[in-house]
Amino acid sequence: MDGITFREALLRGDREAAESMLQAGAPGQLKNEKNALLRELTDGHLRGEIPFCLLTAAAQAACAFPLENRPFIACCGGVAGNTSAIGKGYMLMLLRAWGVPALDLGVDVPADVFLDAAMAHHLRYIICVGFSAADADFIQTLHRRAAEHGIREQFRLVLCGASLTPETLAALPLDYPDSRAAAIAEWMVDTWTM
Amino acid sequence: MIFGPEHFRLQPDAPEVFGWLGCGENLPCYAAFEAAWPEAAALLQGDICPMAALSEHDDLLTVFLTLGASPENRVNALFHQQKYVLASLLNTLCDQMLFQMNHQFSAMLQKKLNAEHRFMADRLEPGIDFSPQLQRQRFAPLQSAFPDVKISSSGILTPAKSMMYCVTLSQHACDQASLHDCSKCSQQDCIYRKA
Repeated sequence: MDGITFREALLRGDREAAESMLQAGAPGQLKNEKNALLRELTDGHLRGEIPFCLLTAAAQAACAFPLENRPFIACCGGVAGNTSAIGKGYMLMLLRAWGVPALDLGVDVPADVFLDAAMAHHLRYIICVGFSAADADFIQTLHRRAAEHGIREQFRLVLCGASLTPETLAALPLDYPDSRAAAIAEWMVDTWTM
Repeated sequence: MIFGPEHFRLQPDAPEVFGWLGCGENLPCYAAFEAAWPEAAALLQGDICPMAALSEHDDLLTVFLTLGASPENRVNALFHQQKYVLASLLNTLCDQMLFQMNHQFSAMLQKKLNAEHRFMADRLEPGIDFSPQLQRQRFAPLQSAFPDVKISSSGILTPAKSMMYCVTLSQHACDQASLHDCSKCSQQDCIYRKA
């Protein structure tokens, strides 16, 4: 792809062009460029200035970066009762773009399965993908069970995509009171070294 | 009463879908979304099977609309393949089809009821106006016609590209309220809020 920069390749969702530039060299510098662009798009999107389609395109091109061989740090799944995988698809898309290794637990996942995964893989984040007001009860249950197992301090808990008001989200035992996928992904990158 | 694909004329509407996605011609991603549009539209035509059902009990109508399970499965497969632009486009296109189906069904229902000198009053939405338990009760008469449809404990429909609501009836020509009222929902950042 002649005449376009790496940034333009990402903004256009052009994975092939991004791969070509990566093969040409300087992967460390290009990774920094990619992450800076994701942050710029995420912040703009959260302020309501940039549509999600730009993040989607950039995420697609960002898949030019191979996943590093790191252990999972997070798990992501649809909460019990949420049988649609589409919300989870968007969440995992953003994590993949940032290079966050996340375990896909599927949909309609009981609280104990999230906790088993967190214990088995020593995960630092549990991402529950929800949809309805009933997800608030699920979060309370997961939090309580984790406390009973003595592992609540091991991970950070977030709820993505639920149709809840900011006030309801703030009242839940979450470690980040924002249910927007873009906000969660950026927050995870910022807090990864906890 | 069951309504098959022959009752619906669903047309992909690119300006509406791009508008919901916020993807305008001035954006660098527009070319990628525009290039993916023909494939998304073709996949959709092969995947959807629009079906609707109507039941009535105690002057309360229950409406169920679905595009079937294939579109959702296709969107999920595209996410797994990291074809995010196509996945996102197809997902939004499915929603546009479902909304269009809803408009067409509402018009059909309105015509049918008016011929019987009955009128639609309020549209009641599961999760907002009634509980998942009542949702399952209202769906029960339709279950035999749609054996693969499930309603989860929190009221989520499987297949996801489905819609269910109830309509109250009146003997008087009230304001027709048969379309979804976004102002009832708490999800302020929903892209369909002004659809």
